[in-house]
Amino acid sequence: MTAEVRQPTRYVIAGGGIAGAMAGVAVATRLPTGSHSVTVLRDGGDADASFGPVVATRPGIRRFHADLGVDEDALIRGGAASFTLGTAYSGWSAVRPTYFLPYGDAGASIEGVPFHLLAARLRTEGEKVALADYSIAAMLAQSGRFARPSDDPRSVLSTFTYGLHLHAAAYADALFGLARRRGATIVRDALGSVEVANGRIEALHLARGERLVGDVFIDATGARGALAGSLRGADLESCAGLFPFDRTASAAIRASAPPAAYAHAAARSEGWRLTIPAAGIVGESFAYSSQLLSPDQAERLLLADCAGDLVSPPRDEAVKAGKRAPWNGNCVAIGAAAAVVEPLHSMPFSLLQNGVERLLRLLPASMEMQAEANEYNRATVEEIDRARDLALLPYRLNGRAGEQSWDGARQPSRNEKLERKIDLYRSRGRVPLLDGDLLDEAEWAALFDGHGITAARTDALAEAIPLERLTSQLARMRQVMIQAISHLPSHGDYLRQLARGAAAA
Amino acid sequence: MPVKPTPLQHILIVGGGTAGWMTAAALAHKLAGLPIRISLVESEEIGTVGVGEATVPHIRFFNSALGIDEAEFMRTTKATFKLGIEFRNWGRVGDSYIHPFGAFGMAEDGVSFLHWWLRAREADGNHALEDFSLPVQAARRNRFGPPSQDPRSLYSTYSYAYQFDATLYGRFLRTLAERLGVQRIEGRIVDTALDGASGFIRSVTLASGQSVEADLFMDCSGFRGLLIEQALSAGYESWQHWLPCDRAIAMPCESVEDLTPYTRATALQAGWTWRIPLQHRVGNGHVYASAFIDDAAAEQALRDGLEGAPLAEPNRLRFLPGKRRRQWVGNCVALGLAAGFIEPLESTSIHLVQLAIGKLLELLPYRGWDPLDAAEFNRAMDLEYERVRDFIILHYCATQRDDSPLWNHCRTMSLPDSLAHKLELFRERGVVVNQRDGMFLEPSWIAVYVGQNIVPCRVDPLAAWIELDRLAARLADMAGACRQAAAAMPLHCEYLRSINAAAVG
Repeated sequence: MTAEVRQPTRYVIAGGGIAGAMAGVAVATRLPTGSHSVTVLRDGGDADASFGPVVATRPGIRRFHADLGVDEDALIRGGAASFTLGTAYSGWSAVRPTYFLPYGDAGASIEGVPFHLLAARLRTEGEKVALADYSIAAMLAQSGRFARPSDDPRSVLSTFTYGLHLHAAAYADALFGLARRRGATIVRDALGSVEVANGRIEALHLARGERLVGDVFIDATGARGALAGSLRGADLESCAGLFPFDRTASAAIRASAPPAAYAHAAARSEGWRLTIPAAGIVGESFAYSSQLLSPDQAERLLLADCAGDLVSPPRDEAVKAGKRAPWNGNCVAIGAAAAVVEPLHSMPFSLLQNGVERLLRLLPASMEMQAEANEYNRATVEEIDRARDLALLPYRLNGRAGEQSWDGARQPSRNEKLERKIDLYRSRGRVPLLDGDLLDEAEWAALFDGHGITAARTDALAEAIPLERLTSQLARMRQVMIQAISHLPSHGDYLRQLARGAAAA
Repeated sequence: MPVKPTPLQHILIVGGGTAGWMTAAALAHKLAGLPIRISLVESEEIGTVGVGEATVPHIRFFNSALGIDEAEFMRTTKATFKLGIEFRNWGRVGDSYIHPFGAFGMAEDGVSFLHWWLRAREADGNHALEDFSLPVQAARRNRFGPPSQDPRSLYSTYSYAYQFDATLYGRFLRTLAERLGVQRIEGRIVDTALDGASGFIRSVTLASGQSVEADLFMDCSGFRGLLIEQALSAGYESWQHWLPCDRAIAMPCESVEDLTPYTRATALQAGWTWRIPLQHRVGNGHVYASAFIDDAAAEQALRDGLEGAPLAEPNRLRFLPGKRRRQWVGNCVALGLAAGFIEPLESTSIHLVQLAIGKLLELLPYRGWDPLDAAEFNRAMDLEYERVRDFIILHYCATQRDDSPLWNHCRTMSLPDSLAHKLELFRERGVVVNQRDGMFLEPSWIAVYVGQNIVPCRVDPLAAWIELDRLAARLADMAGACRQAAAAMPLHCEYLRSINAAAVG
């Protein structure tokens, strides 16, 4: 042990949205309170602008809450979160008008052969096999039912999982409160300027004159990257030209009925629309191209399909897709401050959550913190790049012929890693997974399948299994699933039970 | 709609060593439902490398997938159980550590056990890391028992592998493969005929004049790469600048010591010796760098270290550490030593064969030959080989020895960037880089780092808060529990008898 190295003990987090709140809870929960200080600048800025008023998360959020002792039931009772079983997609493919990307398994492998390859084999035999028909999550979403998964690995109800739809403002409130109870100091003010010396941040100067001194600064200010951007070498590397849509209009609509337990992403000629229902509120956002629509036109299109009162005036933002080296000097950028990626598949939220978790694993143990930064940046940038591959996929494979933005987006990309995934799937239905990939093979396969991509040939290992065995196993699988979900309550009833404190975990 | 591909009609495996018969048995089993003929050509004139062979736990999945009965397999191959590898004299002369098949201690409050241990060490250096590993404690006592399935039990914290006579294992698999329909062809290959247009292998010609045609050729011919290199010139990437050992002498001897449930690798001045305890004898070998020691001296060093009387004349091997630039070329896939050579320091040879078989089955070609299959196979296998390579290099570079030219070279050589990054992160911060692919996981890296005296210079700030008294008490409890649990296990030789796995005669 090297003697007396001064350890970083003062953490300053800037950002008043969910990114700042999550970082605040994470750091305040883990760091010893006696020796460390955690200060969060909760500004009124637009840190969550790139997320929209309601945020869809993947099942990984359950791990975040469990690890840090965040009470999921309390979030749901308080209206900060609701359950989601996946996302319904419509209008993306010429072949499949809609498809559902569920959380958890779709079907079970047989003899180690992934289910989607078995399904492809059966289709060549004339059977109509829809992947979602073998997913508990998809079946629950379709039938409006919900219950948490079973802990018993033998039960078919243990084969699905769920994510959460977060009411961003309420979720941030809840987490800031928790961070404060765990010893963080929450400062409500606006950022004035950033004091930088020798490539490091010394302090934040606040609008009302306060100076927040720190050893480690976490930039959770959203796409503007107010802290990270003040350091040399952390410039944003834009990849905006890769994507057809450069603006998003968003609105929050009041809702009274129990929310649907899934999100809906609908492609249309001018762009795509994402609907994320949560408790008492529905988030609507509409991605479009500024070359084809004015913000006014986009807002009209957004609101035309909204039934219900606006919670607040609609917003309209430029989306500047890009990334930067997230950890520079003593400043760690998380969420949109590190990378802006397309919100489909909950990628921005997953990157944010993984960034916070990775930071906990690599909390600096010395003021120098270069080793920690190197690893943080290596793993984070790899993940951002893979998220970008995924973000390109729905454009690259879209089936909307004869529409300007969509036609242009179908060209093969220069992204070798994405093209290799597409090519191998097209050839034989396998998907190579790489370090940093955020979806598993079954999810990639479901995406390809949803876009109407069919592999040119079936898999040899799937062919090696006798047909009768496949058909009878699938029939049994389906029967067991239907039987299992028939006992489960409606989503609304489950939420009412939970509100009364009666729902089984 | 995917089409049924025209399956291969004939797969010819060239070479009947461990790799060849593993491939034959696995393919015959997995492809039993398809009309594919599988043959293996081998010559009794050509010896196999079949020395005593140590494995990693994955071999159990390979065996159980083939429906192999453990006790019968162990009786037939004179196998013993293996809980890990003891490394002697690697960090410094006189050092000993065991790399076990299991983790050290348990993570708690988001902090890895390594850091609880480091923190306790600051206060008093009483506990060695191995005190917190049940498999190490059992190994040190020559005890063995099967792991528990109950995750709450301490007996669930480890896994195991085998040490067996590779020649007998090959024979065992041959019986199995022939029962599954594999046709064995006796003969020495004297010529390979290529197709002029495609460059694919059309047939091989045996010394008898017989010509054997096939669609897919599996090159299991050993170092020389009869097909992949001699016929198809795949190219070879040498790693000798990082792994200077290029020769080996193997020589079995009588068992004298108690039957150890672990392999031993003892570093000498110009290489290292292995000791693999089987039921009926001990396999020994000296892996050395010809640049630093001559063959006679190397043989003498091996003889000097034998614990019992030699049972055979020395078997000499020459190799070049590295791998084929392409392990799959055209219609030929190389496995085992034909695919690459990484010295047997971490018992990786059989595992790499197993991985390649698994990958090949996932990407099994058809008669239309899509080059994407080979490209993906080569990508995945390159990554596996490179990650194993880095782990092996770690054993050489993480040394403090300065008693001989070999160690002076290794201590000061420049490293692959991927390894340099891993090493720096561990040294500075005690964090192991985790990646999706690569067979060695965090506990393995920790075992070797710490075992070779790479102790992180900083403790995770999250571990800083716990009171040392409480921590010391907890660690003492944990070490006590490991000791007790180890002492309660049967002796290795007794356990072998109790499950009827001891060879008769």
